[in-house]
Amino acid sequence: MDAGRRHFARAFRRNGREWLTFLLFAAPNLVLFAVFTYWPILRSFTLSFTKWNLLSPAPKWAGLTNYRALFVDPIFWRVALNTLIYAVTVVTVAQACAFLLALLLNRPLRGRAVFRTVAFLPHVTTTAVAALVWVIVLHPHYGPLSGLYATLGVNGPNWLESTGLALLAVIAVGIWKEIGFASLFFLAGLQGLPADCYEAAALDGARPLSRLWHITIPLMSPVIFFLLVTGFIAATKAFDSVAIMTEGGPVYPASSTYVYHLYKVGFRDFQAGLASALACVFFIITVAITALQFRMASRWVHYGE
Amino acid sequence: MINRICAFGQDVALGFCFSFLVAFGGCGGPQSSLPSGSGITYWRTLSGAAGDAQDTLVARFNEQHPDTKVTSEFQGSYSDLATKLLTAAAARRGPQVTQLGTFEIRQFAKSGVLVDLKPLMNGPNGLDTSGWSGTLIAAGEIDGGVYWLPFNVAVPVLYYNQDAFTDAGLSGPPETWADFFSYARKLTRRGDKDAVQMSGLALWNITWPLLSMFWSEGGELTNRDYTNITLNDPVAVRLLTELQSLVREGAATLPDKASGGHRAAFLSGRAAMILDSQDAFSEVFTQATGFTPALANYPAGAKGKVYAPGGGGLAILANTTPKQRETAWAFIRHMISPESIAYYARESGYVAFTEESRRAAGDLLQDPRHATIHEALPFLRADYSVNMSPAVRNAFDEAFQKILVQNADVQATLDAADTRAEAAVKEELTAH
Amino acid sequence: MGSSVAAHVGHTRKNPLTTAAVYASLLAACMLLGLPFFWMVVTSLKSPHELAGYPPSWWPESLRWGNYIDAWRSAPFGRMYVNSLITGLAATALQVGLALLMAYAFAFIRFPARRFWLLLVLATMMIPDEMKLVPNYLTLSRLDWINTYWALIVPPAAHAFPVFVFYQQFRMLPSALIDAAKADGAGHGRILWRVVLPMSRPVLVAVTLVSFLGRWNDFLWPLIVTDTATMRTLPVGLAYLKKQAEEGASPWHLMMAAALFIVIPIVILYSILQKQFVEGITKGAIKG
Repeated sequence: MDAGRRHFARAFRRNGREWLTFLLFAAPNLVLFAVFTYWPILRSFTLSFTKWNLLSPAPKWAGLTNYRALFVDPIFWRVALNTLIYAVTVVTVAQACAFLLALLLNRPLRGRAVFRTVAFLPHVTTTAVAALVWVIVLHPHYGPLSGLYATLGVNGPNWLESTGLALLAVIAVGIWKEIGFASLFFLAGLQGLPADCYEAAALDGARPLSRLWHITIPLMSPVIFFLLVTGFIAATKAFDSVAIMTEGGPVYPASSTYVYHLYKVGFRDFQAGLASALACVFFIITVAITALQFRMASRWVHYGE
Repeated sequence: MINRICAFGQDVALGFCFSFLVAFGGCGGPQSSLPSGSGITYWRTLSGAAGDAQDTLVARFNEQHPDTKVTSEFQGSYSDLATKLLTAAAARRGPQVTQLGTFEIRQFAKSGVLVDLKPLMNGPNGLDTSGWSGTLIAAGEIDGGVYWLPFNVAVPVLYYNQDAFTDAGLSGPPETWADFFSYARKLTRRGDKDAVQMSGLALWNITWPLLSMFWSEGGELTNRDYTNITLNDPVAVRLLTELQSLVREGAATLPDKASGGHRAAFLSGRAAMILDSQDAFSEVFTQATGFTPALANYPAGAKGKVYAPGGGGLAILANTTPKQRETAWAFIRHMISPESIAYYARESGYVAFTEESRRAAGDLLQDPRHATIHEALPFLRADYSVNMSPAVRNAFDEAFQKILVQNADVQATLDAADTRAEAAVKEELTAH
Repeated sequence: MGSSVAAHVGHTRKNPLTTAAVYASLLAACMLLGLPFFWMVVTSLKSPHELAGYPPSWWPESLRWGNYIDAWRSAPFGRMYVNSLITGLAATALQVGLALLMAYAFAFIRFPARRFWLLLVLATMMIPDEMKLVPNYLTLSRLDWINTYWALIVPPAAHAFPVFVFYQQFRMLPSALIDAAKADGAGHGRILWRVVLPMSRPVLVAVTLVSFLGRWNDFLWPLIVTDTATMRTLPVGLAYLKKQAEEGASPWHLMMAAALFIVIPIVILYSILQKQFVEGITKGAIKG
C-alpha cells in the first residue's frame, strides 16, 4: 500500500507535468461527457430497477422485475433480431456497393464531380426527410413504381403494409444513406494510397484483380475497419426511419428496431423503468460486439508503420 | 528549459481557450422568458388551418384580457406533444394549459399531472355542459373528477363515390353495417387478369373507425374502469372476420400508416368508400378527381347508431399557481365558448358540439353536408374508449394488423390479444 | 498527383469498352441513388389535384412554385433557418474543438491507464440518444437551459465519434515527426496546432462536416428541449407538416417542398466542401 503510494509519487514527479497537460486537454470534454453522457447512463441503470411512468412523483423499487420481464418477452427477441438483420444487411451491402462505387469514382472520368455529388447526396439528407421521401417512393399510389405497376396491370406490393417487406423498406433507406458516407471515406482512402506500391506491382505484372486483392484491400483495411465499426454502431441505433415509415408495424414488432422499441416502451407506453432496462441491455450488447470487432481486427487490419 | 516552459504556457493557454468555449457555449441566445404574474403558456397540436384558428382564438383572448397573456406554442403531433408533456412533467415544468388527445387523459390524470376541473366547473364562473352532445364530458371523467374538456371534436363520416354507387345500382349510402359490407363487394370493379381497378372500401389504418362499428353492433372491448377486457367479444370477432374476408377478396384495401393512403385511394377513384372523419371534408370536396363525392353518417347496427368521437380537448396542468389557474380556467372557458367553437368549426372543420355553438355557427349548418356531419353528434359515446390505455390500444392495434395484413385467425388472434391486454392492464393499474 | 494515384489504383488500360461499362454502371448507380431526390422535386411541384391522380405523373402538368410559398408559410421557417445555422455552427465548433484536444491527449500525451480512459470515452458511442433524453432534460431543466440555445449547443457537443476519428487519424501520423517537434522543444499545444493539425486538415474538414450534419439533421432533441417556435430548428418545422399526414390528410407536395428547404442548404455546403475534402486528402494527409 505504502509502496504503491511511493511508486505513484515517484511516477508523478517524473510525469506530473505531462499528466496535467493531459488533463488540461481532455478535461473540458470529460466534463461534458460526465454531465451529459455518464450521468444519464448511471441514471438509466438505477431506473432500470424501478417501475416509473415518468409522471408519478417517484420511481418505485422493483428489483430485477424489468429484466425478467424483458427476457421472457418475445417482442424483445424479435426486436433484437430485427436490429441485427438491419445492421448486418445495411453495413455489408452498403459497404460493398460503396467500395465498388469508390473504385469507379476514383478513375479520371469526365463528370466525376457530378457523379460524386449524386452518390453522396443521400448521406447528407436528414434521415427524417429520407424516410419521408421513401414513404412516397414506395407508395402504391404516389410512388414512381406504382406507374410501373399500373402499366403492367398488376396491383403492386404495399411495402410498408406488408409484414415481410416493411423491414426491407427500412433497410433500403439505411443502405441508401450509408452508401454515400462509406464511399466518401473509401474514395478518400483510395486517393491517399501510396503510388509506389502500385508501381512495384505493375513492374511485377500483377493483374488488376490481384492488385485489388493483394494491395488495395489490405492498404484500405484501416478505412474498412473504421467504417465497419462506426457503421455497425450507427446502424444498431436506427430510429428515425422506423419512427417515420412504419412505427415498427404493420404488425408491431415486424419492422421495429431495438432503439425504436426502447422509445416506444418509454414514451408511448409510459414504462420508463422497462425502457431503462432495455437501454442497459443494449449498451452491454453493443459494447460486447464492438470489443469483438476490435479483437478480430488485429488479424486483418494493417495500420502500416 | 525556457523553451519548454513557454511550451507549457502555450498548452495552458490553449486549454483555457477551450474551457472558455465550453463555459460560454460558443454563443448565447435569447433566454426563455418566464411567465410573469398570471400569464400562462398553452401547448397545442394540429397544424394548418386547425392550428392557425387556435392561434387566432388565443389572440382574441389576449385582446379581451389585457391584464394577462396566453402564449400559444405548437408542439408537434399528439404523440410528440405527449412525449414533451411526459419529459416536462418529470422535471416538474411545462405549460399551464395543454391540448391533449383522448389517448393520454387517463395516464396523465391518474398520475396527478392534471388538475381536477370539477370544482371550477361548479364554481362561480362555472360551466353548463347540459347542451353538449353525446357523452362527450365523460371522456375526461376519471375517478369522480373531470380532467379534460373536449375542444376539437371529430365525428365519424363515411365518404362515398356517388358515380360508383349509381353504376353499381345503389341508390344511397348504406344504412346498416350489413349493407355496408355487401355494398363494398358490389362496388368492387375488376379488370382483366382479375386485377382490382376499384375496391369497394379503403380502410383507414387506425382502429378508431372500428370502435363505432363494434359499439353500434353491440360489442364492447373494455368496461369503464378496465377491470373487464373483452377484445375477443363475439361482435368484434364477427366484424373483423367480415373485414378480413373483404380484404382477402380485394373488396377492401389497407394502405400503410405513414401516408394516409386511404384518402388518396378514394380521391383518385380507386376506392368507392372510406370510413373517415369530418377532417377529410375539404380534401374530399376539393380534390376528388373525375367523380362526384358525397358523404353520410356511419351506418347503424343492432344498437342503432353509436359513434366514437375523435379529436382532442383541453386540460390544466398541476404545476399551475393559483393565480395562473384563474387565467387557465378563463382561457378554457373562452376556447369552448359558443362563439369560439363556432369559429373553430368554420375554420378547421371540427364540429360544433354544443347547442349554442351550433346556433352561433348559423349558416355553416345550412350546407346539407355539414348538417349531415352534425347529425352524428347525439350518437357520440365517449364514456370510455380503448384509446385511453396504452396496453389495450397496443394489443388491439396489433391484433387488427395481424388479422388484416397477415390474414391471421380472427378468434385466436383476438383471444391472444385479450390475454395480453388483461395482463398489461393489471400491471398498469398497480403502477399508480 | 491525385490523378496519377487514381490511375494506378484503378484499372489502367484505356479500353473504350471498359470505359463505356464504367460510365454505364455509374449512370445506373446515380439514377438509383438519385431517384428519390427526383421524386421529391417532382412531387413538390405538383398540385394537390394532380397528386391525387393515378397513376402518378413523372413530370408535373404545370410547375407549381407556389407550393414553396405555401410550405414556407406553414411554419416559421425563416427563424428556423437562423436557429439551425447558429446552433449548428456553434455546436460543431465546440464538438470538433473539444474532440481535437481530447484525441490529441489520448494519442500523444502520457497518462496513467490512458487506454482505459479512451475506451470509456469510445464506449459512449454505443449509447442511443433516446436513452439520454429524460436524464438530460432533467439536467437542463435544473440549469434552466430549456428552450435556450445552450440546450441545442452544449449537450450534443460531448460526442465520441469525432474523438474516435481524430484518434484513428493521429495514430496514422508518422511518430518521427512528433518526436522531431518534441526534440525542437515544442510543447503539446504547439505540436497540435503546427504539426498535427495541418497534416490532418482533410479529416478535420470531414469530421466538421459530419458533425454539422448531425446537428442540422437532429429532430428529437430539438423538439424536446425547445418549447417555442423562436427557438426551433428546421427538422422540427417539417414536423409541422408531417402532423397532417398522421391525421389522415396528405399534403405531400408541401411536405416535399419543406423537405427541400432542409436539404438544399446542406447540399450546397456539401458540394463546396466535398472538393476540398478529397483534394486535401490527395495533398497527402495520410502520405505525409
